[in-house]
Order: sequence, then structure tokens, then C-alpha cells
Amino acid sequence: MKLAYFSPLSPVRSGIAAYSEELLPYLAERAQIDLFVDDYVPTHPAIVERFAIYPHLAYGANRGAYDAAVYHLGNHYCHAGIYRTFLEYPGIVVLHDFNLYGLIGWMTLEQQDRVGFVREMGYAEDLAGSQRAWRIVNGYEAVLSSDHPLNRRALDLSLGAIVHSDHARRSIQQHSPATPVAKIEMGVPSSPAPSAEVRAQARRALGLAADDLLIASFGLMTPEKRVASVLRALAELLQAHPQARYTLVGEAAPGYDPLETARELGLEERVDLTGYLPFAEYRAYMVASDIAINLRYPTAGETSASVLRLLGAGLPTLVSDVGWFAELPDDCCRKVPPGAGEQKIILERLLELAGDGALRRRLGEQARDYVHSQHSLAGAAQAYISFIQEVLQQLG
Amino acid sequence: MTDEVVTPQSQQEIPVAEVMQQIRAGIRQRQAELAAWGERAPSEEQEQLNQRYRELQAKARIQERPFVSHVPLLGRFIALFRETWNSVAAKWYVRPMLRQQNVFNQTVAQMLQELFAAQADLRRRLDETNRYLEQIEERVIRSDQDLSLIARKTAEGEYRIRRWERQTTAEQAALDRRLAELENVDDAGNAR
Repeated sequence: MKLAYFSPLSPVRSGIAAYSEELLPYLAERAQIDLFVDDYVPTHPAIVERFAIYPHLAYGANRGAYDAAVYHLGNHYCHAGIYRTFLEYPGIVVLHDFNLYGLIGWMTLEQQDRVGFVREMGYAEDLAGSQRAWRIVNGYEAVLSSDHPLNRRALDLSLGAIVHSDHARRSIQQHSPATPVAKIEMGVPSSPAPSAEVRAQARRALGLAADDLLIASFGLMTPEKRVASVLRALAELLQAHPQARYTLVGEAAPGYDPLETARELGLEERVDLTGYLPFAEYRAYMVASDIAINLRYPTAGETSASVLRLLGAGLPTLVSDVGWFAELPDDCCRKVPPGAGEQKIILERLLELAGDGALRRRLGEQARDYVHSQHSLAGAAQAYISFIQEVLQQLG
Repeated sequence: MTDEVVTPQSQQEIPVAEVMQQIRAGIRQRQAELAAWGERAPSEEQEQLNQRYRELQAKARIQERPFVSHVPLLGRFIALFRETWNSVAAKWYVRPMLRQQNVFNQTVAQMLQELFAAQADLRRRLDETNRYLEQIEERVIRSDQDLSLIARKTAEGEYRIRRWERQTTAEQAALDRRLAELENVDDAGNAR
């Protein structure tokens, strides 16, 4: 089987780029794969060396050479070119976010294409949608992106859809029953438990004292990561555990200052923001951390590779009890329901974990076992190929 | 108010009857059109406007008031003196102004009514146009959705054709190989 594979790749700073770069070698063991990218030169050495890479524009004239095209769609603007090619040459989509409002909004409203936005809202939600869109673009109504998934066009056009959560699979089956859909567990690289020496080395390298309790959040920092709630909980946690530190490992989203609350609470000494880090340094924080917090609310129905990496690294992790995150087994993470009591529950979970090293180790081991058994890259690659073959066979 | 405005000459320049006839004709036409568009319950805003218009119309006509005096005994003479003085000094001057003001008020009131009717007419036309646009919009949305389904069916067909082409090519290659094998054996099955 020969596949045309559309995904962002490095140097694009996208979790989906990292995911594809990890998955592709496993897919390539089962199918012949050519990569299609926007107008940039990929930089991941192993990917560049192993795969033929073409611009999106080259696909149309050469599509007869492929059994199928696989399009990765998410809410980063780097998916715009992929989406446009998909609209022209439908194929199999991988919906990393069930809700595509961010992508469609960027392609229309952000480009001052108000009519385009109205058209997409109309397509997705019929006349009521286009009328609401007019009210939104004319400033009469605020928009709540979670109310408008804007994925109907993608689902109507797709020959098959791959998602990573039961929530997304059920939603597609309900709203687009004609679209073949498969839930494929997101694969992440397996990482053996770091030895005590490796962990101590990582902590020394980061300047941590032996008794520092390092709490960390990972990835792009957005308001949805609930950093403000965590910081307020941290302010109370420090009364019981003054050795606690909180590090935001990643860069802040444009226009968002995640440290604002830390300054308000006078926590500057105990809170850091690293900015974007190369993977080796990112990994060092994963090894050195005692507790991870990767909350997400509201969600776009996405699956978080970074949470799976944290769990796979054996980190006791707090996640939001919502969407895909709620589907994680209870014995491999601690869940925080979003809402009014969020801050209080974060504090309770942190107090529980901070005061019990044995519990942290047990939770981490269970998380690692879960990820290794359910989220292997080889298993994900095999599931991709099986689903694509199934879709092609159904076509006759 | 200047002398020029109040002289009988300028009063005659207002073709009152003609204006009123035009206004009435306009109203009749609008009423007929509104009936054709279909009656709808007036909005709260429209009802308020109508009420204010009725109040304005009630005050539009200015009338001369009789002279009176409440002074005991002498009141009759005072009122008579004022009436006489008015007849001598002011009536000839004030009455033309009153007439002109009444004509003006009536004309304004009628024109307001005309404007309200026109506004209501425009509102109904706008509603109709909106309903028409909604129907078009619905059709456009359905067409857009249908086009996606057509594009998907086309893609499915294209994928099928690709698959058949590959199968046909593979089968052709297998047949060619088989033919080559057959050409290399004699009737008894021995290699030539």
C-alpha cells in the first residue's frame, strides 16, 4: 500500500508534527509513504533521510500513484494548507481535535474573510448557523468556540476518520453516521523508568535542591491549561510544603501572560516559565519533576500527546476530568473536574501527592504500564493501516 | 415671524387642497399595498409611535379662544373691551397667522402619517426581503452540502478506479507471465 501523508513536520512547532515524526517510522514498516508539506523544508534528520517529501501542490497531479491520502487536521494554523488540499482531494482524515473552530476561524475571520466564516457556520449548522455567524461578525453576539465544532464539512468529505478518543468517535457516529470512523489510541514512544542516578543528575542540572518538590506543567501555555487556578492552589500548598516549586515547561501563547497571577500572589520566587525548549531539555524536566499538572478546559475534544508522554514517563499527573482526559483510567492519574471547585480540588490532589512519595511512585508506575500497553507506536501504526485497508475495501 | 410670511399673498402660495389630495392619495395607495403585503401585529415601538402621533394630531389645530375676565361686576366690560380691541387692533393680523399655522400643522401631521405608513411599508418589505434571502441562503447552504457529498462520491469513485487499475495491471502481469510460461512448453508439457 502506498500512502500520501499530510502532516506538519519540524521545524513547525506543533505537537502533531512531533507525533507524526514518531509514528512515521512505524507506519513505514507497513506501507510505502510519501510526505506532503506546506512551503517549507522539514528538518527532522531521520524523516528527511527516510522519506520522499513533496509540496502540497504536487499531490493533485500525482494522486493516482497513491492508494490513499491521509490528512492530519488540528487547530493550529499550520493545518490550513492540509485542509485546503483535503477539500480538493478528499481522503482519510485524522482529527486530532474534534472541534475545528480554531482552524476554520483562523482561515476565515483571522483573514478578514467574514463571508467565508458565515458560509462555514451555515454549512455546519444550517440557516441558524449562518444567521448566528452574521451576528458574531457584526459584533452583536460573542462567540463560544466550544459551541461550534465546524467539523461537518471535513466529516462529509472524508472517506474515513481516525480519532483518538471514544468521545470523538461517538460524536462522529452520531452526527455523521455515513463516515467510517475508528478510534485509534494515540501512540507515544516508550520510555524506560529513569534510574535514580539519571533523575538526580537531571535535578542537579536544573539547579534543584534535594528536597525541592518540583511541580510542572508542559507544552504551549494557554488559558485552557488553567495555570491561574494552579497558581492559587500553589499559594496555599506552599504553607504546608514550602519546598514546592512550579515550573511551566514551554512557551506562552501569544498575548497570554501565564505568570500574571504568580506576580499578583507574590509567588515569583517559586514559579518559572522556561519558554520553548528543545526536546532533550524538555525531557530533563519530565525526569526531574515530582508531579505534573496538565489540565485542559475547555477542550476542543483533543487528545494530548504531552499528557501521554508524562504518563509514559511515570509522572503522577493531574488532568481535567473532561473529554478524552476523562477516559484515562482512574488508577494512572488524578482528575480535576472543571468548574467552581477546581482550585480546591487541585489543592487537595497536590496535598495528597506532595505528602506521599510512595503514592507518587505507585501512580507513576501504573501510568507507565498503561501507556506502554495501550499507547504503543507500533500498535497505533498497525491500527492506522488496518483501518485504511478496511476503508479502501469498503469502497470496492 | 416676518411680515412676508404672514401676508395673505404668501398664504395663497400654499396649494393646501392639492397637497392634501396628494397626501390622501398616497395614504390610500400605501394602505392598499400594506393590505397586499399582509397585516402583521404592530411592534411595541410602532404602537408607541402611533400613540404619540394621535397626541400630536389632537393638538394640531389652533382655535381662537373667547375673551373672558373673572373680575367681579366689571369682568363683562373688560372682556368686551378686549374683544373690541382685538377686532380693531389684532384680529386682522393674527387670524392669517392662525390659518397659516393650522395649515402647516395639518400638513406636518399628515406628512408624519405618510412617513409612518412608508416606514411600516419599508419594514414589511424588509421582512419580506429577509425571508426571501433566508430561502436563498438555505438553498445555497444545501447546495454547498450537496456539493460536498458529490465531491466525496467523486473521490470514492476515483479511489475505486485507482484500485481497479492496480488490480488490472497486476492481473495483466500475471497473465503475461503465465502466457510466457505456456509458450515455453510443448503440448506434452515439456520445456522447449
